[in-house]
Amino acid sequence: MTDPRTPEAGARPAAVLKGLGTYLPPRAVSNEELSQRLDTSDEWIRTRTGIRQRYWVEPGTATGDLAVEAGARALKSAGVDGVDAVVLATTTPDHPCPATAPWVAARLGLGHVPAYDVAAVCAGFVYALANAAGLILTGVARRVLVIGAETYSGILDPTDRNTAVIFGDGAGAVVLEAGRADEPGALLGFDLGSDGEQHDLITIPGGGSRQRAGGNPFDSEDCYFTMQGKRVFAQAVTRMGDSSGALLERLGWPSATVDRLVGHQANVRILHAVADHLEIARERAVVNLDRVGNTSAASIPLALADAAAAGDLNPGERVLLTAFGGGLAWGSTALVWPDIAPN
Amino acid sequence: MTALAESTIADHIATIMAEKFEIPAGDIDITASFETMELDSLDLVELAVILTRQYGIALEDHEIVEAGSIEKTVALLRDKGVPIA
Repeated sequence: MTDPRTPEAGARPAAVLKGLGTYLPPRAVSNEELSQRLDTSDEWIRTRTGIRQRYWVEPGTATGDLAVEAGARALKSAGVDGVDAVVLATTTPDHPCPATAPWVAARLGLGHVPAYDVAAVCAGFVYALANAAGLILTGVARRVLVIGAETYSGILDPTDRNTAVIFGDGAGAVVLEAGRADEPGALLGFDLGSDGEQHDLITIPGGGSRQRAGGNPFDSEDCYFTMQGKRVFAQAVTRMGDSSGALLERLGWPSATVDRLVGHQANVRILHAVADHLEIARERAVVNLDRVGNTSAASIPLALADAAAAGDLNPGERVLLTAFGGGLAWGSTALVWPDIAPN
Repeated sequence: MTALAESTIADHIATIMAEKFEIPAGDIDITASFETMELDSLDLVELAVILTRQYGIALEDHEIVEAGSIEKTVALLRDKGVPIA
């Protein structure tokens, strides 16, 4: 995409971040609460993951409901009431078919704009940003609402202490607009990748055509989310580190000039290991998973909003976003933080 | 690649233990078991990632768990082709 090293880079078109909105469901679930029904403890969860609590929806609330709330807040943050497209990243759509985004667009009163889902699990938000930037740079849209929304509470095996304590529900959204690469908020480039040889590290085994093709009877237990934690940890550190490093190299940003590293909020130890790998001080890694858990495709906008609210993310600062998830899929992008009012 | 001294690699692993995993210097002993040094399974996953990058070899955490100590991890690296004198 844009290369800021070229002299005319400033005049190049780019997708520019104009607004940010987030929504968490009201019910906070503490480690203590989970320890009452699982063989785990607050201490184990905190030392292994850094998570203290997460939010779970109440019965009756689906991913699309969270997406509508976050989307409305992002539109308000950007000061606009319409967009030309909606791209929604999720692992937990309202239905296997159709996509959740059209319903969200309708609920937001956005009319008959193109709206579709992106499936890249925990890397979904970065993929959706790249997708939306593509719509803008090809002239399909001038303004796009990008949403990451999840209700993992509905796909967790309540008896699996390795996943049930990690994931939370939530949604975050941004508004991207056509602009120029020298404007604050411009997405300056992307590094994306996948490795399908390792698709089984993070998976919901049942409920899809692979299960039906195998002729196996439907078993609702196969519709739980599964993850091979240690192998995922190693891959997450390696992929986010390498992807971020490749992007920084391309942008000509020495790692010491990165003010904020906003990684997918999977595990504080992964975030610190990625920072170490990039030789970015750990203090520059934004961490909010302690209070929201791993919210998959929603994690990056939720982390951005928390950091901005805490005064840890200020206009003019160089921000690196990087994410990793099932697929395997990973991706990174970067921007100079704009003067916006997250909502 | 010039062959590295066994002690250089052991020192490198000891430095990782101290700096990244915050193991007190007094508790780091190249013959001690990782368990005694209170390293948890994710520490050993991270160690595998760091050594993989550093020495350009394929190394998984379960191999480090089986090695069980810094000294035996150095031997494991040698077996995997890292030139160690």
